Order: sequence, then structure tokens, then C-alpha cells
Amino acid sequence: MIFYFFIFLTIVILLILQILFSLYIFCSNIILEFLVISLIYFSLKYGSVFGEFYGFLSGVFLDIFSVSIFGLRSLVLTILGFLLGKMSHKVDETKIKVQSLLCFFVLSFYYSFIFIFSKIFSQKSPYLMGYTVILGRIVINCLFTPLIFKLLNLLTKRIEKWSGKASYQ
Amino acid sequence: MKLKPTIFLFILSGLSILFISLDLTEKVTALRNLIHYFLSPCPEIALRIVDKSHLLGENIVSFVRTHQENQKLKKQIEELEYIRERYETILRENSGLREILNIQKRLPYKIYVARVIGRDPNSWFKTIFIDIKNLHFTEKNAPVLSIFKNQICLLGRIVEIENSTAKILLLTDPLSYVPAKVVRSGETGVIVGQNNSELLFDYLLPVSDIRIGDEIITSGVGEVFPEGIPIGTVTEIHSKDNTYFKKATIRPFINWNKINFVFIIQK
Repeated sequence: MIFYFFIFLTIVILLILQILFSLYIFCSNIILEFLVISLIYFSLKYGSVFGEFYGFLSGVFLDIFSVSIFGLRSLVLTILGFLLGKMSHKVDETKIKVQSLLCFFVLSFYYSFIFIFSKIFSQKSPYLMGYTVILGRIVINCLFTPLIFKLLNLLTKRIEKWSGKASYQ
Repeated sequence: MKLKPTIFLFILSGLSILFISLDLTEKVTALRNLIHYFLSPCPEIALRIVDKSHLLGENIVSFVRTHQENQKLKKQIEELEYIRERYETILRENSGLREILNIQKRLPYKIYVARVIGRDPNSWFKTIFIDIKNLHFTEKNAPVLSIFKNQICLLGRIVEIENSTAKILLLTDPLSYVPAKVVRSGETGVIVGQNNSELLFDYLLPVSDIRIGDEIITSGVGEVFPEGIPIGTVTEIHSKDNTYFKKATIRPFINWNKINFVFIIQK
């Protein structure tokens, strides 16, 4: 239970970090998708069920703060959690190249899914700023993914230690 | 029990689709509002966070902006209300001053205009104080008039003069005696104060011709009040009170609570 509480806390902290980073570190068009990258990390580490749960929860958080349809991000992140969980223990997530590539595909899927859904429901998409900007955002995220993975790795070890759990599985 | 990922996916995806299909906008907006109000002590920071981060969408940005605009407009409305009240006060004062100018032209006496500056609540119907700083007026017992609804009427007389103020003894003071007469029949008597808003017309003969509704004016007897200054109208006649004198209640033309300016007649 303590472990899940820490995971919930992690989502909240990452959400705040995401906002603060986009505000003070990067220019306004670039957002470090901490929650999506952490979803990749946790899904690969703990499997599909955890990935779906994590994706759903962080999606709901993002939905609360977004203009697009409520439930859209939770849906896409749940699906991503499931798909990434399926790759758990099949890919070597410790390799920087794998981390970056995964981030690239996941973010492409994530942005495309939201874009298409927003188009279907005639909702103004927050990602209508141009493909080059989106691509730039994805590339920046890919570059930062190894670092975030490293930090998450340290954090997870701490969380497991505090919650008295050697390993989730 | 170990959950199957596919079942879990269906459950959570179904829940997400349910969120999408259900109209949860109001509830989500309420939650956003709550968050906004948590941030409301520093709305500028809140707006900066909301505005710059693309995660937080335009709805919340517009909400914060609308809220701030609303606050700004409320402040503007308050300021405009204040200006409107001031404007109305000035308008009323202007209209009063115009009336004063007209009165000065209408009266055959030399008159001074003075502003009321004080009234003691303990002697509300007895005395008032006026400002005579720049009038250079030193005459005691001068009659004082006032105006109400464009009608000139007697207010009282000056009883005390100090450096810059003068004390007026009102008609309603029991110490005030004013010789008066009925306009219609010319019956004379004395107007006495009763320490309330109405006056007593005393010393009328039992056979005096006086009726309810008759207008009462000063009779000019004595040297204090000139003849013909309106006082009020008869509202009640008490013929049984006294066998020697008939009495009548007079309702003055003046409203005792709306005295701002007075006119002092120089004899």
C-alpha cells in the first residue's frame, strides 16, 4: 500500500515538475513529458497491469488540467501502458538507444492519438501548432529520456526501500 | 488473484471511454475552479503557470482571465457608483443653489444665505447652528427663513451670535412665540412650539373663523417677523380645550429634517 502511495506521490511531483520545467527551463513550446516518460519506465519495469494503472491515473491528472475531452489522455495512456507492459523484459530498457527510440514512438503515438481524437470530436487540439514544433518537442524529450530514466531508477530504488519491498514483482 | 492485463485494459479503457461519453465538463470545471481558488492568493502567478504551460489548456486560461476581468469590472462598477452618487449629490446641491438664487430675487428684503453646520440631537426641535463666517452679520432676533419644495417658509429667529456661528431658535421650540394670522379670514393668534414637528396656533377667540386647511402666515405684529411669511396649514382645531381661547394644530410647510441652507432677513 505504501508503495502505491509513493507512486501516486510520484505522479503528482512529476506533474508539477512538468509544469515548472516548461515554465522556467524551456521555452513555451517545449514540454518535457515527465509523465509519459515515467509511464514508459514503470511499464517496462513492472509490466502491463501496473503500466495500465499508472497510465490511467496520470492520464486523469493530465485530463483535469487540459482543455481537450476529459478521458482522452487517460485512454491513450492506459493503452500505452498496456502496450509498453507487453514489452516488459523483452527489450533492454537500460540501453540509452532503446529508451530514446521508445520515447520517440510513444510520444508520436500519444500526440497523434490526441490530435486525431480532437479532430473527430471537432475539439480544438492543443497540438495544432505545427508538425515541426511537435517533432522538435519529441526529439527534445528523446534526448532527455535517458536522464529521466536514470533519475526514476534512483527514485524507484528509494521507494522500494521505504516501502519495504525488494521488488514489485 | 492476479489480474489479467487484457481485462484490466478493458476495464480502464472502458472507464476512460465512459469519461469521454459522459458530460463531465461541469465537474471537471468545478475541480479546476477549486484549484484556481487555491492559487487565487497569487492570481498573477497562477495565470503565468496556466498561460505558459500548454498542458493547462485554454479553458482554464480563459477562466482565470474572466475571473480577473470580472474582479476588475466589479471594481470599476464600484468606482462608477461612487462617481454617480457624487454627481447626484452635486446635482441636488446645484438645484438647491438655483432655488436660493430665485428666492433672493423674489424676496423684497435684503437676505443672507447661510449653511446649517450643527444640530443637537437633544434639542432637535429647538435650535440649529449656522455658519455666518463671511456674512459680517451681527443682528440678533433676525427672522430666518427656509425653503422646501420651492416654498418659502418661516424657520425661526437668531438668538445668539458668536464669532462665526449663529444659533437659531426654531418655531418648534416651546419658547418660540410668533404672531400669526389666517390668510383667508385674517384671524390673528400666536404660533407656539410644541417640541415636535407640529405647531400650536394659540390665543384664537372661540368665535374665530378658522378651518382645517387654512394657510397661516406671520401677522407682522411686533418688530421681529415681517408680515406675510408663510408658516403652515391648519390640520386640527381644538375648540373644547379652552373656553376662552380656541387652539389649532399647524403643520409647517418646512421639513425639519431637510434644512441645509437658511435665509436671514436683514431688517
